[in-house]
Amino acid sequence: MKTFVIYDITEDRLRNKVFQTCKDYGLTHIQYSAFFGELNHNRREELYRRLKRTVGKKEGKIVIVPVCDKDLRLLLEICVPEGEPLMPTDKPAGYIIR
Amino acid sequence: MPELFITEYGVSLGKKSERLVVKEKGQVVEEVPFRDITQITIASSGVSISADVIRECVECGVQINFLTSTGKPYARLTAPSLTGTVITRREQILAYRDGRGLYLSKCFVEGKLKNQANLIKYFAKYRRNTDTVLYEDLQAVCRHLENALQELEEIKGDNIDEARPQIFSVEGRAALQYWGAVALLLRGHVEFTGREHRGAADPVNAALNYGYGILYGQIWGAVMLAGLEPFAGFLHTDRPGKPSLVLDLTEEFRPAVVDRAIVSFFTRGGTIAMEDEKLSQESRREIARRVLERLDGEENYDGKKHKVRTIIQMQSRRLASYLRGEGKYRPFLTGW
Repeated sequence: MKTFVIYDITEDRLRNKVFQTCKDYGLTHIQYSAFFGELNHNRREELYRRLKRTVGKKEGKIVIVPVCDKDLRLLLEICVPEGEPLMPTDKPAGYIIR
Repeated sequence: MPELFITEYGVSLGKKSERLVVKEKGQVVEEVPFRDITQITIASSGVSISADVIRECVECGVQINFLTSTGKPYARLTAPSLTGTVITRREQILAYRDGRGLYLSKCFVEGKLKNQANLIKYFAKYRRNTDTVLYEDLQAVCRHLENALQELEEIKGDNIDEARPQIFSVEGRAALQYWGAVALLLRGHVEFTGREHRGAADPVNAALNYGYGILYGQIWGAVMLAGLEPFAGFLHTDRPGKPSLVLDLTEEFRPAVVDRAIVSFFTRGGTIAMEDEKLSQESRREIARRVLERLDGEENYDGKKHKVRTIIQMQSRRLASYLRGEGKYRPFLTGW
């Protein structure tokens, strides 16, 4: 299921750790503090536990939001002047050739 | 699931956090989470890979294959613990001397012949109305292949050593027919006079050999993951350094994966460039792309659709179960 991960973290080290973990889960960085991508139930749960542990007792707020395809079709976006649109950021097909 | 296939010179693979980072001239060109990678194949020289990457790959069960410019696998990296499957291995070695080895050999060849016939039927289907002469010729080849199957079934013996000459004889005659049909299909598109194995300098044979190299890598990986010993085959004879079991299991997948990809490539007007009697880098990449696409294609297996690469894995596991006496082995058959 497509999932948004949004966070608000002031401490640089911690924020960077959260950023790296999101990338480790194959999510795409769409805005300064927002990631988007495909995560199944297990992966989402796993990411949640990991991030919870990473933040620990420090200050921070993270929201993980799964969105169903039906709702996602109603998505509207404005990106001026550049920047990749959100929806075509699907993961590459079965293989990568270089 | 991405499979990484590196054909570019001077690429470096490194690790950052839990991702594989692909760099070219110091620039990051790709970042892939390790857990999303199924296999890494390095088919180019001048590629550097760090120890961290190797370790992470091993922990995530990602195998790393190395191919030469002709597609021959020359090295592969796997975890040493993958060989810790004693019961399967004991049975596999013992099976050579009893009826199981013969049964399996016949299965592999049966799969190959049936899939060759299915592939010919597949291509014939689209030519039924457009080229009736060719259609009839292809049908005739299918009949020959069906006769060969009949002959195969009648072969008897106590073990594979006794029956091998007969099996090879059937297989050899069928191959002549089959490659004749492939030549008919390729007529007018590219020159192909017959199948040549190693060191072939014509585009079709070179492409086939390169494609088989990629397929070997896939099957080798599947065989290892199923806990089988890649060097102890049945149909293919024992020789040091010859992965006989990999070659055995490859038989039933050759037509469906490689032959189909390459024949379609040529009949749809694809061309192959040769440099010093070898495939050019561009051509190699194109062939790899076609073969990998076929591996991601779907076929029916056990009444359900699966990707061919998944079927390879399931067939390997089934082979292991058969050897342990836990089930039956049947060759994988493609549709047409």
